[in-house]
Amino acid sequence: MIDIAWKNMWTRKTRTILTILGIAVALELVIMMTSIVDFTESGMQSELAKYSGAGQIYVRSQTTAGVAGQEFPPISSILREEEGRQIIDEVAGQVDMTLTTPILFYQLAPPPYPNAAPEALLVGLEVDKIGAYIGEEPVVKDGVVAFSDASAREVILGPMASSFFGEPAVGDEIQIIGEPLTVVGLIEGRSLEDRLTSNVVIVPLETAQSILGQSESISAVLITSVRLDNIGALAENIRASHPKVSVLTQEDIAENLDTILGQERMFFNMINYTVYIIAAVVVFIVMVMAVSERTKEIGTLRAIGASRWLVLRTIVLEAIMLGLMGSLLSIPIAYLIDMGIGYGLREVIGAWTLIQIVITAVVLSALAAAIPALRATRVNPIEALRYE
Amino acid sequence: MNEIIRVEGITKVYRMDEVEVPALRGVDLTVEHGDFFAIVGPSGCGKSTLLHLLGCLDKPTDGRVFFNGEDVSALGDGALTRIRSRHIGLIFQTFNLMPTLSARENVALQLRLAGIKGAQAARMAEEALEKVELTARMKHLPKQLSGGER
Repeated sequence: MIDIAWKNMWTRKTRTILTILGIAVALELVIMMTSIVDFTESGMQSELAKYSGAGQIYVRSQTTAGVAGQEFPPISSILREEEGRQIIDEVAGQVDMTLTTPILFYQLAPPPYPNAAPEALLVGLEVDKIGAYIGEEPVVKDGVVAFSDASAREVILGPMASSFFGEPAVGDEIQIIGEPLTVVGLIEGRSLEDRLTSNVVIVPLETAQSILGQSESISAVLITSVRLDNIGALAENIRASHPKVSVLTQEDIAENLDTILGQERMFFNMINYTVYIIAAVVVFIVMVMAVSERTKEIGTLRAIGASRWLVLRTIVLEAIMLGLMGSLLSIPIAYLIDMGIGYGLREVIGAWTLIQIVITAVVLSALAAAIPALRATRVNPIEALRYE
Repeated sequence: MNEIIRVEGITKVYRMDEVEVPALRGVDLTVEHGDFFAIVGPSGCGKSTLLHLLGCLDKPTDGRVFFNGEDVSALGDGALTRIRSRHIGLIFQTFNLMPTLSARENVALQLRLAGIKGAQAARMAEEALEKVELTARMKHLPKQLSGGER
């Protein structure tokens, strides 16, 4: 009876097209949301991999309850530079001094969506220790990953930050908080989703302090331990001698990233579930209308020998076709939108995710049609023939 | 035995709210192969009710309906549906053709409901339409046909 279902849809073209478009737009949103989660998860995993074995510790200021342990990088933290340097001096014998530096963060552009990394993050650190934050072997797109001196008015941009500043070339001048800085290097994220290197606007620490008017403060101290098995003890020593600071080990960082990811997944899943429900409601309404309009036809079908099961199957099949076409159409729409906004999400979302979305849409469409279809099976042929 | 339909003392009473409305009272009838019946009477005398019972669309309040010798008065919906699909043809006052199906598909529909496969049902429908000289109208929708053609 697929032909009857198909012809029912084809005859009511406008309604069918609008329904399919409604489902497609809703599911396109699901694809985008899911790909954002996949995108972020992939980035987080890459960050977790980066920290495993890196032996890094962040020393930051204490934050209010509920915030501590959740913010990474520690953008809201403020430490006196003097205290930070004192901590570095105390642990100098146990850490890799070439990768240990005071660090200053400032959010230049907010995250594009909740819990994401800022779109552009000012990172000020000592000029010869850039690798402490972005890794020792960054992929250089153009220019250099170095500054001419400790107070140079120079900047190195990550790919997302570069996009935020309008894709400047090496040698161009950009304005950061009203200050002109020269772009000396453009780096690639180690991967597209690299949460830490993608959004960086790296400047010398002194320059960052000067721009922000915080000549004596930093956000944190980034310490890289020489021995991986020493991190716990090192963190404990710092906590003991500086009870007012908070020490974030790589384990804490991993935990924080995981917590952020969990929150993000929950946030987007909530949106996804809502969108799925909206799509199902659209199908439900359309099928209720279809059954109401076709009472006479359904009654006639029953009168000439169509079983209840056949009627139910025809209605559900129609809904399944709507769901299938809507969900298939949502894929090119999502790709086109992604191409338009240039996020590159389509590189992240996998075929299996798309298949899952299509299957979910089809199953939900069938379920949404179940009530109107059951109603159709209860159409009494005699009642329907009274239309005569 | 040529008997196709036999009804014995059938009664049909409709209940509307608390009021019982008798539509048929003690009707006896036998229809044999080749019989041609016209049931006539004033409005509300129970013509449609009787046809519903003869067409296995409804069940009597009392009495029995035999179809090909089988008592169908107590059969369930599935069994009655099967009888309707395989043994009973209905032509409605306003035709009740499926508006989304062509003339050929409408004719084939009844055959398909009787269990005949799609291609064979289409062929049989074409043959039937040829007999009534509607070959040229086979692909037309009901709304494109005249009243007589429908």
